[in-house]
Amino acid sequence: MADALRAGVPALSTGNVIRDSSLGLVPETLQPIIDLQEAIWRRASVGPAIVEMLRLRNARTVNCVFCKSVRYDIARADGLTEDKVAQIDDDFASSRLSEREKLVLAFADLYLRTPDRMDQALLLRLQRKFTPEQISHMAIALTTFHALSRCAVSLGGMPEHLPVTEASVPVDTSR
Amino acid sequence: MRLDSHEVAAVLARSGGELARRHEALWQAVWQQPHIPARILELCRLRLATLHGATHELQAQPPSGVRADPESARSADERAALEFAEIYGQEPQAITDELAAAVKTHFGEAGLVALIEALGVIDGRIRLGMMLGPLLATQSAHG
Repeated sequence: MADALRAGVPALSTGNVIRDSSLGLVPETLQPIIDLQEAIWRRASVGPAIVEMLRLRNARTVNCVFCKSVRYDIARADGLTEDKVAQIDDDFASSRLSEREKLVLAFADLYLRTPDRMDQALLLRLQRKFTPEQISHMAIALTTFHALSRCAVSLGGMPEHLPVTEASVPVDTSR
Repeated sequence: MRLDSHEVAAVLARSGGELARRHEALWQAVWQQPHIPARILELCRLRLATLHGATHELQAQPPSGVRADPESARSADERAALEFAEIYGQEPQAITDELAAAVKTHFGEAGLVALIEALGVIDGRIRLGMMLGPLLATQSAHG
């Protein structure tokens, strides 16, 4: 992994982790990213625990050390325990996670690994368990997390390891 | 059933509500930001679609309206962006400081960040286009 960050950060610190990152160098996309993140965590119809499972499955697949280390408090409050987080690995299909949770992770793996290979049985299970709104929200959450984690990896400066840290969804007070 | 990036937006808009609106706002912002020209992003979109084998996306109208031909991309700025996109599309962990420096030479630090953001958003649309068709187009058709 790269030792140094490949792009700087804004000169002025705002206290918002997204604004104060390298993403702050592109103001034209910054607010849409913040607005989208806020909506994913606060408005997704599947709830924050499922959103966090999608985020962590993506983080472990992309191997984004920053993303893997974070646990959002809103997801813990929604019932996502560390015991469940530990089961978001490649053996999730035989884990103690619920069928619904396993289906969420299978949806994530489809997007992350083989988006061109939709299995008919998985398709039917997803359509039985989730509404079109929920599928849309999971898709938007996943594609957003995937883009942002690949962004973090591409920008370099990734440490080898970070301890697990609880975080809150950034509150944007700048407008 | 494969969807192109325009069709992905339409399918998500039918059932995604406010999240879909904000997702589309980011897509639009990526194409309109001033740091990387739309012509360069179009080259990258076509390259990512090729890497994914997404022939439906290759045939889609350019999101910005600006057409580009990867076969004739020979200028130094085009090559820097395309070489970065090539590795990004396969494995972001394999991006080197040299690839990033070449992009910064032509587009600056903000350009590097804008390019990486755009590649992520475009790659995401292509992936969604490959998997959402059978999931959402069918469900919407059944009400």
